[in-house]
Amino acid sequence: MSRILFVDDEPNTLEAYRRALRRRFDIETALGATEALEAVRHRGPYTVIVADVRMPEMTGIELFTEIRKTNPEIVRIILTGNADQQTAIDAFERGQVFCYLGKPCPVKALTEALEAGINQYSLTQYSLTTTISPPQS
Amino acid sequence: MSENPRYHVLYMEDDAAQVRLVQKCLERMGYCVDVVLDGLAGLQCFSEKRYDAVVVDQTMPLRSGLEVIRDMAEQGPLPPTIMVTGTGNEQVAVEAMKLGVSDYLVKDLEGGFVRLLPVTIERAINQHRLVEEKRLAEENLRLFRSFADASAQGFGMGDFQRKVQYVNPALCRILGEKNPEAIIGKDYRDYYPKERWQEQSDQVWKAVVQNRQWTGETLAFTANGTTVPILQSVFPICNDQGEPICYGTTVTDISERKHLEQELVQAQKLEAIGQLAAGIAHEINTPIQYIGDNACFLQDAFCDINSLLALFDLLLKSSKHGAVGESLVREVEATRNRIDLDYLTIEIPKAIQQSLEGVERVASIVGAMKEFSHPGRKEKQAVDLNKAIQSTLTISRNEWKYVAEVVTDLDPSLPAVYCLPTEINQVMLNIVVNAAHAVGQAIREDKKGMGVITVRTRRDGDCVEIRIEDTGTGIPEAIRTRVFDPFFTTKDVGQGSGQGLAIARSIIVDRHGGTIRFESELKRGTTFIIRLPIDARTASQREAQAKGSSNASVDPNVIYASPASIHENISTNDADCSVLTP
Repeated sequence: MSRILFVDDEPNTLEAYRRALRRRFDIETALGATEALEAVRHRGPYTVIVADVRMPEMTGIELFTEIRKTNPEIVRIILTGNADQQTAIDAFERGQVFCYLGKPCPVKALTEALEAGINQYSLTQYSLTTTISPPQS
Repeated sequence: MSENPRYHVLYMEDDAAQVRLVQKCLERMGYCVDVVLDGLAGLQCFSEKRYDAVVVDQTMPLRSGLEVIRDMAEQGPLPPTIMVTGTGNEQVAVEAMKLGVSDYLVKDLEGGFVRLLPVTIERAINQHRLVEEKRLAEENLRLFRSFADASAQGFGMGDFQRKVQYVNPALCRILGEKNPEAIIGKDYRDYYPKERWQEQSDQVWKAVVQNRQWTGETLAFTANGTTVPILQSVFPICNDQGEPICYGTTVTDISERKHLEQELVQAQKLEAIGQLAAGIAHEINTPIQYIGDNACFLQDAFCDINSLLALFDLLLKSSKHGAVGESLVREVEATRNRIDLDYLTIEIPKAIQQSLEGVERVASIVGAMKEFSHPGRKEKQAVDLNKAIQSTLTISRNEWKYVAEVVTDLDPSLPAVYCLPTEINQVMLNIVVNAAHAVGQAIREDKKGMGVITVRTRRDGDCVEIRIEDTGTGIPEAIRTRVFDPFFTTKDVGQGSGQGLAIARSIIVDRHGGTIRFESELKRGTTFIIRLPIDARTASQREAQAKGSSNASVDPNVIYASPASIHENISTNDADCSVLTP
């Protein structure tokens, strides 16, 4: 099962993600950006990381910018209650997110987004392997 | 004559001997005399110089006295003019009088007229002055009447028996009467709402009898039975000795201004809510998200448990028949493991519990919003300010929770305060949001950790004091005097219209008779201090509400979020100090 990291500043939300998605994915959670960076550093690898935007310490977009430096392969998804255009633009430009979801997001839509993310991950992994080790002549 | 100013007299006379006699006599009396020997020369002098009096002899060469007077009259109203004649022709006298001559003297041979002339001149001058004064007074009066009639400002006068003596058309219109006669003579208290008069009679009447001016906003009670907000000045009108003889008043209808003020408050409230809307949506969407996820989980979990229950049913039936097959037991065990029953028995109650918390959270936000934006009654009512403050903190939570911890230190024995709850909420919101912005800016500038916003309530005598303290950037010295000015803002375009504190000041000071001020230190923070009188109602409102019903203070339209539902982390029980963690 693919490992997914959920980041939010609301514990109830994280527990609910875990319950609703535990059958299909290997869900881990981090309460806030600091915990998330810690998890990526020490408990990886993760396929997809899903984060809220507005959190104390660091926004989801800032978190993604950080993660991109060390682990660009992790597919980044925003799941937020702040559905304003500027946040979305920032998320795509600065966070290079794969997908931007608004809260409340039904489990079905979330599942589809995660599956698409995993798919994206394997595609990039595939292209990476093929570029790094070219067929020997 | 010596104390009088020197009067200039023009004397027209062709008889040289007579001239010497009269001139000497007049100059002895203090007059300044110009003499001419014929009518034409007289007219020449008259048109060149201003004289206080003119003495004209009838029989003169070139032009007779009457002709000269006729020519003078054509140039305008005659100055005091005395005609002197040797003949005593009645015809001439009548015509001269018609032309406006003041007096007519007949020369006698004994020279009695020479003695009489100075007295006659003086009398003519005095009378002429009186006539002139009267004419000027009448003209002034007409001018002032036209001014009062044309003015859009109401004017009135009254005597010390409280009877109206005069009203101008504008005041008549404001008071809803057709003509001034309907008002004159009435007791002016008829034109105030009774309860309002009781409130204000003291200060207005005191000002009147103490010979002072009073200006204030009050209500007029019109002939149509409606009330109109007015701005009124009352002032004594004094005689030359400085004693008040009656009093005057100016009245301006300010209903339009009041209406605009009301709209401005409403508009600013909408602006504040608009700015909060995104934050509130976020606050609501978060619990909705996990409630939805949990419901999904519970749905799946129920299916799983159902499949296990079906097997348990089979197990029950088999055991009743005394033959429990081993394969059935294995199947039950396998299903039990497959659905992870141990996990479900732990997680299902938690999912239910947390979902209920979420529902409560949404309800409290919606409740707080409803309380906040409730259009409200126009009258003041008893309000638990502590609850109002907590509601405001609930709906503004998204504004502060990422930058500050909110500490509430609310006096549990705070009495209910008579106020306009939605307006007070608006003030609280404006200040809390400003505090959050200041703390946010301080965090960005100084890379500090979370700030603190502390809200305190205390009773202080007849007042309640609310202090909102932040650890933000502080207000720079240079702009401290301007923060309450309308349209003054330091925020970026689109972040605020600069109305927040101006409205707050207007609500606290003008509508509640309270005070609002702040203490600020750069880089340390700002504290806003609001003082509200506990009972700012008028005596009659108090009476009416007391009569109304025993639960007059409970407005069925206002739904207060119950303390427990404000926020799980606010403890509103006896502990008077609590912390809202973000």
